[in-house]
Amino acid sequence: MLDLIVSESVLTQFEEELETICVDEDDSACHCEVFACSCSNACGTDYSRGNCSCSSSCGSDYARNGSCSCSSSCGSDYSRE
Amino acid sequence: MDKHFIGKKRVVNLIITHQCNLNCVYCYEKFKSEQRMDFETAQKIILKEYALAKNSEWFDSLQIDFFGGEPLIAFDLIRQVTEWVLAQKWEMPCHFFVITNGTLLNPEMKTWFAQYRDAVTLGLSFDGLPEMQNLNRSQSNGLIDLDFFLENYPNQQLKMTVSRETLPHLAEGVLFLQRKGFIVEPSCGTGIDWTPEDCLEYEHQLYLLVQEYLSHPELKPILPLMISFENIQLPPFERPPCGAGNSFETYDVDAVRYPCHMFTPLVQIKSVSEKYANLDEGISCKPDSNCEKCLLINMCDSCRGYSLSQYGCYNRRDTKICDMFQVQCRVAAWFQIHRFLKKSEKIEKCSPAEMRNWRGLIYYQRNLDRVGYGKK
Repeated sequence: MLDLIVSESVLTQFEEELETICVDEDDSACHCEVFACSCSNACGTDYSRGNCSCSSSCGSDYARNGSCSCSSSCGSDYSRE
Repeated sequence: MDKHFIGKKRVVNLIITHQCNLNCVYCYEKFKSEQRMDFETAQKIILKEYALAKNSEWFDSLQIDFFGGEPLIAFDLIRQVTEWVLAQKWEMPCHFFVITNGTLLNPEMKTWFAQYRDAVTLGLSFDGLPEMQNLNRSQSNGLIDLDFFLENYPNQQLKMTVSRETLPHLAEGVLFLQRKGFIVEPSCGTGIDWTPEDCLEYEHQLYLLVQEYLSHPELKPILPLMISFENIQLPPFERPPCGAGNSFETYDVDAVRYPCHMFTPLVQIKSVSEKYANLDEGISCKPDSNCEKCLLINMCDSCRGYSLSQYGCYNRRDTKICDMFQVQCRVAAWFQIHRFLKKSEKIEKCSPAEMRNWRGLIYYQRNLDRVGYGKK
């Protein structure tokens, strides 16, 4: 198994950098380039499209064209307008 | 209203044929037959669903999925239904989606799909390198025109399912398709007996991809590595586990309605599928009690329909894939933190969700001992 535990010093550095970022409370857009709206797939078919994806066949409201309304289905609900 | 509606799109999944021309190694549709849906049945379902969506405050659009089996076996029905719906000029937008193995796409179909590509999205399942596709999907690599999909649906993600046989080539397969220009979303096949050795291999393969993405920032990472940790600090919540039976319904060839295709007689034995036929309420959100103490409870996916066929209970976590999901989260967290720290441009502003994700990564790293099925 690979050592994928992030050391405390790296975590502290990460935390410090986060402190310098301004959170825009009005920004409810999904920034797919930073982290994707993903509903990771549990079951068969992947209906993902666009930047945001709900891969999942079981009942996704999957986004397309980057409109980011992946209210999934199996997995996280990332819906945001 | 008891249902847990999520999203604003009403998704209607029509199983238009039980037939398939391939026999994929991980296929969960065990009870295929020669049954097909007819046009009148499809019309009735769509009219009913359109009226429901239009008169509901919950929905602002309708999506009709053509599903199988292999739906292109019933291409004439796809064409007939699509052209009929578009001719209605309904107020509420309708979009069509077809998930296909791509092997039956002939020149006539290509011409039609290209003509209707704004209304109909064709999604392809393809499993990586040509050898991986051949291994998983009935030696079908030579039958698929990848360029057609790339040209007509450049934003449509390509579904890549990973089997035990193709797992050792996962990274290579992903990069092969990404370099061709595809958006690739790999996922581990459901119902496969993933072993501890497979978990190690999966970790290795994801790590190979991580190294590639860190040294080539122009490559877009696959979504399993970008999974969001934003909800990890929330208390376990009874969220809608999936759209099954909520914002999503599946109609079998005979118009019987199910929460999703995984509950139909294509997947479940008849006595089980009958219990879920034409339910008026969505399925319960209650999670597996063995997951209540797991840190990943708000992130993990479990296919309800698969659990039903495997364990006779749809709330039961699919433990076969649980370890693989833990591996995914471990690699994803490591990757996202290092990718953030490696960014050449300083991030000055973010959305609340982004910040929750980043804080979630830290929380996850500091509480790794709280991950796992059956945690006390």
